[in-house]
Amino acid sequence: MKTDVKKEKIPWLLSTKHNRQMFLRRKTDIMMVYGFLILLLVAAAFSSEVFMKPRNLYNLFSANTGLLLVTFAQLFVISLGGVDLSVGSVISVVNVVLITLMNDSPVSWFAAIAASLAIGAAVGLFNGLLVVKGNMQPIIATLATQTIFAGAALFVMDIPGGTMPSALSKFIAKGWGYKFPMLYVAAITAAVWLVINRTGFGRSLMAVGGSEQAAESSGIPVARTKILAFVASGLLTAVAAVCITAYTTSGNPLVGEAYTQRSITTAVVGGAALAGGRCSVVGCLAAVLIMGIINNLLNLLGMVAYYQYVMQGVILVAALAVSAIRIKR
Amino acid sequence: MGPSLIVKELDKTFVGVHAVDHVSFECQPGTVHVLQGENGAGKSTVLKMLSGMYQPDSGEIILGGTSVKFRHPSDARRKGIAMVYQEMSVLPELTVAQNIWLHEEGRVSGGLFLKEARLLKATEELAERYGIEVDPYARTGDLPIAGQQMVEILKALAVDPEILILDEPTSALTVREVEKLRRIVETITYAGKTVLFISHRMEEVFSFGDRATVMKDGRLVGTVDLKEVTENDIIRMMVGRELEDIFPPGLQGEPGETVFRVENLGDGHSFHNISFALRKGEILGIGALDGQGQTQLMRAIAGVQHHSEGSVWLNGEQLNYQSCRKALKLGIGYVPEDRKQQGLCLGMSVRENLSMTSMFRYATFGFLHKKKEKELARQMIDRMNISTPSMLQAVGNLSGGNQQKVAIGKTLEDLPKVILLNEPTRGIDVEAKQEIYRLIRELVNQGIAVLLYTSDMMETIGLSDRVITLYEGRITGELTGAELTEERIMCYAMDCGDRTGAAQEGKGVQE
Repeated sequence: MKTDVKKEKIPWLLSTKHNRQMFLRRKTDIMMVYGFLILLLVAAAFSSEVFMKPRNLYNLFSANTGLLLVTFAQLFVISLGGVDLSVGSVISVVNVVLITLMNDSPVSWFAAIAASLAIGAAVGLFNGLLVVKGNMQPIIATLATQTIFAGAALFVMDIPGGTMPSALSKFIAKGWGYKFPMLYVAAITAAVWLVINRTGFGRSLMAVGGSEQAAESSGIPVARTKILAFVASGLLTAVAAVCITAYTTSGNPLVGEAYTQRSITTAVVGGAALAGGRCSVVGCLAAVLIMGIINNLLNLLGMVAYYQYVMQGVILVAALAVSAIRIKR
Repeated sequence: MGPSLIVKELDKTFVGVHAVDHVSFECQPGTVHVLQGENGAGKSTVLKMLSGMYQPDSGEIILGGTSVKFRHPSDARRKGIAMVYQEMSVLPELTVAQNIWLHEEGRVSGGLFLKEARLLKATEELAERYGIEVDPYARTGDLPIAGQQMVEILKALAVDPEILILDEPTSALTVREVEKLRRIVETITYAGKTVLFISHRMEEVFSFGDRATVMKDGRLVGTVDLKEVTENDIIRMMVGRELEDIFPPGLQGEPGETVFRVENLGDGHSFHNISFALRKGEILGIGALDGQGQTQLMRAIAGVQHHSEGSVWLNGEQLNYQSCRKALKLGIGYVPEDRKQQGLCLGMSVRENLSMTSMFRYATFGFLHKKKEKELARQMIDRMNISTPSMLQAVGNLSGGNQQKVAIGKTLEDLPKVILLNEPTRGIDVEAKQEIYRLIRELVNQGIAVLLYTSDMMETIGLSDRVITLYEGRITGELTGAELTEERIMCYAMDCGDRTGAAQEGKGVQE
């Protein structure tokens, strides 16, 4: 304690040069992503006159809320050092169950949505238990469950059909002049950020992803953290599925398929390390916007949809290459 | 005969750091040349340039009279410099023979396809030539660390190099294995080859080496003949000042009451029937060769692995726990031997690592208390004297000694009553070691019970007030005070024949 008097005068956070440097270094990849996003926005505004129209911007937002939420779901598992391959088929399952359960009464709407979230959480719990109790790698466990859920979705509804009551879908996707979806997206984003950056669970998540043995020997409940991460992932996936259903308004047992790969891409572009232990919620926002704008632009410019797949793949490879180079340095 | 290797004005700068500053020295054939210096003195960088991992910015490497340039480690191997790395690089799934001839298969088999029999035969010949005992058929991952190291050395010798570089080969070895290694090194030098050697253990520098080149802060301090200098001379060259007293003073007077004890602890295979007590104010050391069950014992006490027999008592109460988490809660902290894998999250900041054990204690509804976390981290950085530019620095960027301080500090954050230290000074430099010694002594003086295992016998003797010796998972003796000599501990730790007399004598002193 005798050194305290002297040390008290040394300001610690951000006020020292090194802390500022560390802050900047930690945020470089996120700033790079945002820089790219701004460039893309400028390029988009110039290459298509429709792009900046409010209608298109609203559409851009609606089309990508689902992806943002799935990215958050993916983020929990990626932070552990795993990958959740089952998010896509979980979306499909929730979508077909939601449509099947829905009738025209608000009571049944509520029940159907509650059931969807319960399915999401249960599926996450199942994945988590497989990983922890079954001692499996997340990628292998979810590779297996992914086909189970994909099959289940087809079992519930084998061809696309059914619709969500339009009053409900309009409210979820565009309620209060788009203020309602913006509100809940903002609320969920804030909640995810808080959980990851400000709670013991979030810190445990990073520690387990960083070094499982070190986390274990530090007294962190490793098994519980892993299971909770999967439950959070499943729950968020279900929320995303509800949004996606409200956007597409219909049931389709294959609706979620593309989301697995897309969510991994956006999480990595947003600055998450596939090896685990590092992720950024704020980065995800930009990453999802980048992906959304590219798709939107390809649409506006009248390109065939196949290009979107090619672009997504190219972006994923580029993001992985950038993060690999960063690690090597 | 001229020098086998001449290093001339070798220079290397990394971003902002002048790692090696115009260093020159010569090595004679048939000798062991020690490269000495603190961590960060630049010796590893010199070795990496010699082995082709790095390319020098300027300067010259003259090997057997001709100037050479290496583009790649395999290039250096081909031209006659082979290096055994500090980190094990053997492939655990391959057999010993396959590992040794990795990338050399063509030369040995003489054809497109592998001829396992030839590999095995070549391995046997090679091992016999240098007097190394290995089983060429064994799966390398099944060998103990020392055995894997022999495989590494054989792999380096497989190309018949003129210069063999051993980077801290003894850090994972026990005294007996070090002795074995010394004989092997003698055989190698007898064959006219030069061995370049790095070690942090001063006794080994003198027992292995013929000449030593000392570096400090990237610059050459000088090259000396080890027959003409003393340990203190070398240390003075390394640090620029004399280190009079390596270990802090031990316990004065009688130890306090028993804080912690275990009774008849066993896990059924690696340790059996272990009973000992930790008393207030004293450090209990474990004297043992590598792999005598001490790591398993410590891990069992820490809750990392299970024990099937016996009981654990803290302050007179029997404890029951099955996990490390529970053990920590009860007040038993463990600092694992491998800080990089088991102790720390290298990518996370100093602060995040320090708070890992205690964060749940000062969280409300799961939310971390940032202010408290910073405050505690700052106090611990002061208390442990961790040298870091800030608490946001990633632990992986700190030096080994500072990493170790974070690992110990992290455990202390949870206010343990007992702390188990497994190899707390592995792979860190002299000055950092001394700081760790002082810290351990301080902990004890603050009333924390300490159980210590270190494979460096000098440390066991210098730090411990009392030593229990382990051999094949059983306690073979207990030594205190004047009995703490290297010979005595070794005798117990190796369970050698005439120890009965020594044991009785030891008992007498204790009672």
